[in-house]
Amino acid sequence: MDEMAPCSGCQAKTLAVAFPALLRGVASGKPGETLLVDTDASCFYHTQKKAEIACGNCGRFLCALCDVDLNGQHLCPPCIEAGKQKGKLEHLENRRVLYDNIAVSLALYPIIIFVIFYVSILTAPIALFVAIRYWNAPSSIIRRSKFRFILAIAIATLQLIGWAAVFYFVLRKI
Amino acid sequence: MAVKKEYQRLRGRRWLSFGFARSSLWLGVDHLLLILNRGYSEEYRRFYYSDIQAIQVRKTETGRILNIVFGGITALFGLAALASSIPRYDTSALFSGSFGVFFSLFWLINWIKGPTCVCHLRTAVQTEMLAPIHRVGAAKKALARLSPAVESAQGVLSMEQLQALVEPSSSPMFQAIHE
Repeated sequence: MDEMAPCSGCQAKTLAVAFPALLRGVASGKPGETLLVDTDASCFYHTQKKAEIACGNCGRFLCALCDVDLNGQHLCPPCIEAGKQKGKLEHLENRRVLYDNIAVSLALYPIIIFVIFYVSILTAPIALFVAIRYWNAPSSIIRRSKFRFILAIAIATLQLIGWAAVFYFVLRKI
Repeated sequence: MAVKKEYQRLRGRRWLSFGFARSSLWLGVDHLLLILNRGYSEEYRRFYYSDIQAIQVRKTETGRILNIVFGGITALFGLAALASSIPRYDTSALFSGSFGVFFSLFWLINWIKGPTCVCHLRTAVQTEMLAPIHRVGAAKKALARLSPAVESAQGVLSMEQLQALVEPSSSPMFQAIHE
């Protein structure tokens, strides 16, 4: 890799790597061809426009304006919207909740912060619920194991056993 | 047979929002993934190799300033420890000395990590700062891995194209650097 060189403008040492995309402009969208012959198929969303392709998901005919090329897959805007909301299009997913982190925090924090250990009577069942309920929910996009869920279940179970033992002995004394 | 990982981590990680979030960069099959981890959720930004126009790394003075600050504090505590131990050794020398050692560790770590930088990635519609890349050494290693991936998607700039980009001040390259 080349060494840094001073910028001719601000003199700050700079290293820049350019790629051929820099020479390309922003691709302009196609307006869609007007339907001239009645026998031609029309776009599902724009009946006056000529259909050019079918949606890869729902099969509706689309004009050039409605056709969205997503990594080689041709989709219509409603399918993209639905796919994004349901999390079916991973490439459009821009946020995920990390339930495994939530479960392990609920199980561990009352132990780490010993002063609030008594709250584990509430947090342990919640941690157990979160771990079981979201066991199959997608975790981080960077694949990781179920270790955090297993850890949360183990710790929460031990806490619940501990609380059950405490109640058992307290009730026996009464 | 071992399953090939979908993403490979690029060196560099940065804590943001006073330690409540951290960002990292991952190389995917057809895109670069920037992850902002907020502890209980993650946010993703994808930069497709075919869309990346340029990557710019600019050296900053932050590393040098931190070296001066940590070095100065270490020297102050070191002098204080020395001054308080000259007549006879007492607990204040130990106190000052341990603070000196504590700050010298920060100094050493910052010195080993090397000079700091900011890294920007440019596409046709955005210029995004890549927060995880904030050391020059890490930036060069990241570029060495990222450039081949982008070039495999786009090809390589010819010498003529490169000269046309670099020479005139009105070129897109010049504008990319000075934005």
